[in-house]
Amino acid sequence: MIRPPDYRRRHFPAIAAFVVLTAVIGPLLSTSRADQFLVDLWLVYSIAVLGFYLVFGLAGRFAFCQTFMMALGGYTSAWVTRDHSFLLGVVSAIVVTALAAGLVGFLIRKAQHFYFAMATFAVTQIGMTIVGQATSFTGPNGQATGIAPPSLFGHVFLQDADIFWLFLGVLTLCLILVAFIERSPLRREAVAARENGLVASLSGVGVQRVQLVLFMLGSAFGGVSGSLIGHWQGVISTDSFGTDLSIGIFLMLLLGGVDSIWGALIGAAVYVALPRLLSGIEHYSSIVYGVLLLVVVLAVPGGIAAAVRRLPRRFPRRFSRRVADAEG
Amino acid sequence: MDKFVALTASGIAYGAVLAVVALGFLVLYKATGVVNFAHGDLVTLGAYLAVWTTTSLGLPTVPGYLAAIALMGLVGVAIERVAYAPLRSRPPMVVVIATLAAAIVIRGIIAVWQGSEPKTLAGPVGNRVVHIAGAAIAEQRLLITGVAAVAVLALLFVFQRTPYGRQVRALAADPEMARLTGVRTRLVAMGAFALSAMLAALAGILIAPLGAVDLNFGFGLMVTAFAAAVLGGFGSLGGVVLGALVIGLIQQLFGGYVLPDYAATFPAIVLFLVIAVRPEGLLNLTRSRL
Amino acid sequence: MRTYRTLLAGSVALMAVAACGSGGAGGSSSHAISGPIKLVGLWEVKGESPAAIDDYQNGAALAIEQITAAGGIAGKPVTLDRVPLSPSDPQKATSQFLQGVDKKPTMILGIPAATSVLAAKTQIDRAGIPLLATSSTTTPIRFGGPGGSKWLWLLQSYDGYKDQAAVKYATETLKASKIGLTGTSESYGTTNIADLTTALQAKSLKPFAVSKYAPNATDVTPTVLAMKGADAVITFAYPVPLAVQLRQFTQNGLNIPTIGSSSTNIAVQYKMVSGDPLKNVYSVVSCDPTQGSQRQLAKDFGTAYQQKYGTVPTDLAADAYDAVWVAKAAIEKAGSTDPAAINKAMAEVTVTDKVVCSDGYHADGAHVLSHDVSVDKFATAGTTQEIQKYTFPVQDAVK
Repeated sequence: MIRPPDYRRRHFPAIAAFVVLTAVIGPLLSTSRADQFLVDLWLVYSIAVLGFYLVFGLAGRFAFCQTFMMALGGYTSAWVTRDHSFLLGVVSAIVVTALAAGLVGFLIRKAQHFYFAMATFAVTQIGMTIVGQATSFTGPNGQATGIAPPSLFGHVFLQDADIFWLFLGVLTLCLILVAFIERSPLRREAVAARENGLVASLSGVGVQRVQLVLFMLGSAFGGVSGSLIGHWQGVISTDSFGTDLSIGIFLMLLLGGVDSIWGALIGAAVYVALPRLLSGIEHYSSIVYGVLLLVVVLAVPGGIAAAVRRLPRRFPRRFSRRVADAEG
Repeated sequence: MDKFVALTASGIAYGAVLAVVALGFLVLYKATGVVNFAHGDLVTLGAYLAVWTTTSLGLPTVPGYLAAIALMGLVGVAIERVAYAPLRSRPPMVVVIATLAAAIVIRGIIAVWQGSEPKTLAGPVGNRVVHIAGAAIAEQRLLITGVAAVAVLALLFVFQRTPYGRQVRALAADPEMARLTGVRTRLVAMGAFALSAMLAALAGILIAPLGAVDLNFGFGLMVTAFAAAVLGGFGSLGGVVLGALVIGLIQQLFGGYVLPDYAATFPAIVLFLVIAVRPEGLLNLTRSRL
Repeated sequence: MRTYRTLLAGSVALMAVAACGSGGAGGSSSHAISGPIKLVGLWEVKGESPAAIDDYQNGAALAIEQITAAGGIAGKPVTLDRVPLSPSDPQKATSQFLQGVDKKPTMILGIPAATSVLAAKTQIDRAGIPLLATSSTTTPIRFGGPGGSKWLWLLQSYDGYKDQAAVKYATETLKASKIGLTGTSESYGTTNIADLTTALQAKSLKPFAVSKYAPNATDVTPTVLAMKGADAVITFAYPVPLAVQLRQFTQNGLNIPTIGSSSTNIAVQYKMVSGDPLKNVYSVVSCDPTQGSQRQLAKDFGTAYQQKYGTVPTDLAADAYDAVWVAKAAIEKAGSTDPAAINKAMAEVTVTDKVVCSDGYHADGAHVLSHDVSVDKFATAGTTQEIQKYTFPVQDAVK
């Protein structure tokens, strides 16, 4: 599972390339309001899926509570920004979701695989019900309305085209943070703990600590994403973070690829774009989804990101071999 | 008192359905190691097939139900051929994702085939009720409990007393060893898929007459049944049945007496606490299989 | 970020111009009715999601057919485009609303769920195209409320009025004083239970008991038992659990009058409940478009609908039908396809021609067009009879 160092060192150029490319292509893609909205949605979902990558892809913890963390972040930020700035709202969303994940993760630190998934699913169910019933802050069924639009240094982000830059900025920060983790011993330890917890702990890796840290970090990403969604749309409710999305986040990472940070971004793009591409044949959309997932799993188990990654490797080798043949 | 009786009766009936769902899920897990996320949609499909056999084909209720269950056996085999057999040598994660894909496809096929409006399934006993200790209890609930109990006992018999059951238990205990000693893995897997799908259909058919069938019908049941299986520690059949009954009763009794608004969360709270305290489930009798 | 912004200022500006083209308040001369008129309906048809129904599309298509036969809107042909709108996922719904906007329609109709309207609020503000919503009119989406918009018009009468009508009927006609409240534990149920409680308080009453259940519940025994001893039960729930509730009342030998919402009509139409459990069941709806109606126009609509589609229309079909006629009246009053002119006309127009669900649609300060609520009584055969009609006062913009 450990990748060659040369691959890992290319993180920052890759991120820079991605940001430049998105900055150029994003606005060009957004020729209509619906497309602009979807591009923004892709960026903000990517943040949440990137967090899920840390928890599931890296730490191997099947957390079914990323949508709850998004909701928690959204509500926290909505509440804080009633009296305080947008920035403080986002920061408190990060702190609250990280603490919540810390508490949950600590309580079920010993639970493995399926048990961890079920426990986090239970957390989602309990949390969402409480949010839905606690009508003192939110409206009925957790509708929080009139959330202030994002504003930074005096600039208020109102139009979707404007929001694009904010979201791209935040996603870039998140990518850089993840790249640091990818290059740090934390990744090595997490992979070791994921592959064989017993061996890892015998060789001195604090398995529970590593998994807890990544769970908190990934959940905080979810919190950021939820907070941004709230400020962007001005309204959130428990419907915004329902079962469809919790399965969706899982699907996004699987389609994109579980073992690369790009998998999260690719998967989110596919998830967001697919309903648009399928418009006209909505009746068959879920069949298309299922078959696509099956094909991806069968043909490229590492997801779309792995398939893309394999291309350039294979190609130059063949190319150089051919050159060598010609010369020889 | 009558309130207590009525709530207990509905809790037991709900728990019985959960038990059938959970057992179907567990049979497959034991025989093949697959955590089948399509199980909930198989429950839905079973109920829709029963609607189809009883309304479109015009069969009487009970033969219609049996036809639907038999058809679901074939569906189980088909799923084994299409979504599991090609993946036998792949890592478990890939297989889990394939079941998720199968779930999505099944749901899409039902939507195209039957449309999306809710359907109703006629029960063999209609809306009749019996009175026990002053409480009115729908006969359908008694029927659910009875049929589920028979199904569980039959399953116990299959697993304890037949060669097929022994093979499944051998696979659950040690797949490699079982294969080496001549257990026919493929046949056992196919049988488990068929059996699991039939149990799913049975659960769907039992509970459908109480409400209505729509595309999301089985999903919620599956999730609650997962919780029941975890409570039972994924261990003995008895543990799962007990887990299912505990969840059914908690939901109805707590919902009826305290904090009704939060009734749906009680199983979740119990589940979380159990996992926090005993990360391997409540009744994990160290390696006891089936 | 700033560098990128400068670099791309050109393309962003271009795009903004393109995107705002539909929303700009251009001179009315260029917008005078010339070409075909395009309406967009935001609703699903069967198969597009669990519980999607054809009623909206059928109702609107019938209106378009009749309008076309009578020479179109202001003499111009009219088309109806449809974009399916997810009832459950607000993000998806918002993007689908924007797809409707991208079609550059003269007016947008539909959006069946009030939560989707609320979620799309900021986009409705920016789109600058009049939206006539057929969702139920919840408290926050009225004009001046946190989900309201200058461009958003609400066809159905205010939900709070439906709640008041239910309470009024229960207390005045049924003479009930011990009134239990039930509903699904999501926004529809919880919002209405809160409003019903307020309506009861206005009559110095307290709910006899309040009980909620999950939208996918197949067993509501705790709820049914909690209602034992009530004189009447008012229920705002999704159709499936509502059908379960009605059946379980019968199974438990309870014969309490139950007043439901239009979910009751849907549950009955899709045969989720029939026979004995329908004894003593009522519903508060925007209207009854069947032969049981007291209104001739409603009966005519019911007949035409039955002939075309072979089923009895629900009030949802009638809402979509009416929405098209209201749009026609507003566009003709504006005499232009300029969105601002139509939006202005929406505030002024009174629509009585052809419409089913109101004696006259006229927007009040809260942008609500209908003020009528009907009470239906069900027969065990599943047919309805409109037995009471209330007209409520107009409202000012919400402060």
